Amino acid sequence: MNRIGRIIIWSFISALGAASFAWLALSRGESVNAAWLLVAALCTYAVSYRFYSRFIASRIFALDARRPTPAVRLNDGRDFLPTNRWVVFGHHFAAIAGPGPLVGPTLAAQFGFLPGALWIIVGVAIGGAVQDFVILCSSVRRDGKSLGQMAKEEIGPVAGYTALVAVLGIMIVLIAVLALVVVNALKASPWGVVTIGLTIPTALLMGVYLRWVRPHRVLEASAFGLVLLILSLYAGRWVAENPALAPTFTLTGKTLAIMIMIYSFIASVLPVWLLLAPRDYLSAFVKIGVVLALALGIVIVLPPLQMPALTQFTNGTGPVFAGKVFPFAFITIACGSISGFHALIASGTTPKLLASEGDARVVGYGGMLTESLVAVMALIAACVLTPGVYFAINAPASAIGTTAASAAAAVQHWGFTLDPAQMQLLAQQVGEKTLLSRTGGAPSLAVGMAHLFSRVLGGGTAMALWYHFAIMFEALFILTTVDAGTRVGRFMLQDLFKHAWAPIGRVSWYPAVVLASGFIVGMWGYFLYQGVQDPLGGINSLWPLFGISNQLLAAVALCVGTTVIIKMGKARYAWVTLIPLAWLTVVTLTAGWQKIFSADPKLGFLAHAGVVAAQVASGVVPAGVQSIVDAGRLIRNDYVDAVVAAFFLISVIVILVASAYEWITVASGRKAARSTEVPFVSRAQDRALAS
Amino acid sequence: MTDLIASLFARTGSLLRAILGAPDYGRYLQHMRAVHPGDRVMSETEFNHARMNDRYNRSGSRCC
Repeated sequence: MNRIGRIIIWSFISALGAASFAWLALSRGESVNAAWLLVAALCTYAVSYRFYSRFIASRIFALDARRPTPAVRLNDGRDFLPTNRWVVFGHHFAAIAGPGPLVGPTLAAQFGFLPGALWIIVGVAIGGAVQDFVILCSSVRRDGKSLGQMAKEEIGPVAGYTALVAVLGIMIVLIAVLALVVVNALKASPWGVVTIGLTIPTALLMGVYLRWVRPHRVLEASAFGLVLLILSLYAGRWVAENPALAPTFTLTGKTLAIMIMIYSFIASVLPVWLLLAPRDYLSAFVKIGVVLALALGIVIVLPPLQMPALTQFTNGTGPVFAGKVFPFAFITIACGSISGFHALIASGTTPKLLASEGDARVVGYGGMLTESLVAVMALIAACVLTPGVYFAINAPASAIGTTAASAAAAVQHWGFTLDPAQMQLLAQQVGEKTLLSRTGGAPSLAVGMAHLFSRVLGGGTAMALWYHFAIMFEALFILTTVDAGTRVGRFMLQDLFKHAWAPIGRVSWYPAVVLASGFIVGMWGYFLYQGVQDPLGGINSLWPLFGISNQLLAAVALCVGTTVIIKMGKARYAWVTLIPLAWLTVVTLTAGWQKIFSADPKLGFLAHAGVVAAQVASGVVPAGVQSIVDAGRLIRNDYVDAVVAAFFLISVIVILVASAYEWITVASGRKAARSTEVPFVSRAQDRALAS
Repeated sequence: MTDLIASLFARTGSLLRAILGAPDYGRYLQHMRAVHPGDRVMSETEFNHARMNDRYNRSGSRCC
């Protein structure tokens, strides 16, 4: 009976999920309720967790609760600490969930809700969650080794070094594009600038409090910081409404970009306890709080999705970013379906905390399903806006002009409706001068969130507070990622260059620290500044580069996973990682190729450079730039972007070839399939040996 | 009853601290006493700074 009951329940869940998908895919003409999307996602997660993750856990890795984890064997009271599984889950989730799953789905909504929804839900079940889980298990079986170490030891030194350099490249593009999201959200917004600006002294105060006033009282300091955050929200409004102060804090994109660079440079050389650690605590609290609030808001309101299932922009003419639905939907949404960055975390802190091998399933596979749910919620928040409003916020000025009337005309031309008066009213309601062309995804997500939250709490009058709360939340943890990333980049650079000149590797030697930090900030600062100046809005060229680089890292992780599986003697199950790897390879190579060589100047870097050069040659100043000199800079930027894309493509190919070579030598028997796992010593034997 | 509330409060607190990844000095002390009795033990400030430096100097501690 029990068995029959289970079969009935799981059949019901599967049927419900399939029915929801069918409803999403087939309903045309009328708006679909977000509930269908949520149900489709939750049923898919439940079924894939119950069956697929169990298959991987038992058939491939044979996870065994009796097999001691590194946390148990190597317990040092510091890094290696056996920890309760739900605590590890929370910790892992807080580490993997960043701004990525919020921004990507928002941008990809230009294709309609369906492509994004399918990729997020299906991609996570057979791609992202598998990657995180497989890497976590591999690392747990190897004393918590990092992805780079595993790439070197499992595949070979070429793959190892390529992975190392690629990670540095990805960091730089990631930081630049995230900083650009913040710049676009704060541009011409005194309220936002003041609120975000005040988070810096708030974090400093927390740092001082933790150091001298009440040492080590992390929760007290966080509570105190959260109160200050709320006050900053009101302080921002006060400044924005004050005609004498508001202009001082109304900043241009260029000014903001330079300020963020200076700030990050300082933050990355300050001691961590003073700024970075306290801000990280705050951002973790706000992050978990907002994710829960968003879930609650969606469940209570159950909003209809205003965006159609598919828009005509699947043909590649979309204003938010260029390119057809294939491959660009799969590049734009990385975090949420599959994100290579997670492999760094699944082979970082997490494997050193697991108290039992069995916990890897809920932490690795389950943690990624949760992140995917966040991405689904972000997609919902973007799609509750009418398409007219969505495109007015997310399309660059080159597509919709600079007035509400021109935006309305452009949107009408695309077949949607936008009332100019309504657009101005909306901007007023959220306390901004304008919402036109606020590209980057953060503002439209914040409008969507404010729309949902204000229907639950506070009504229309609270819209502005909710909007700026959402902006503050996004900016707060983006800036935490920017600082921490700059810092990590600095260490990676010092580590890389110490082979050339030993003193540069000294992490506490100030000249080396300043030099390396400056170098890293300079590199991402270059891309950020280029993005701010770009007449097409910057996000158009940078976000795909970020997506490609993140998928490249996922390809590295899946290559490592496949090699591990083959060397365990489980080659018959290697399809588990080979399927997502094959898909990512096709997607990444196609997208990279198109970004470089497409003849469409909106899409291809080289074609764009060619068009601008032709205009310059005939003495015409291209649209959106001030002078011929600026146009020259535009051409140079295109070439740099093309080189970066080519670098990522070549890295993918190098790692694939190196891995395939390794697989073939093992499969053909020329090399023994020898696993590098730490041998199984059961807990009972362990104790006997120790005594 | 107050004991129960106090213990619930303390447990929620330590749960939150663990999820945030705040350094856990108590467990370090426990470990040092149990496994390396007699070795020099870092002070709480020393320990926290060492943990934080370690956490933010590695690439595997945060994501996009």
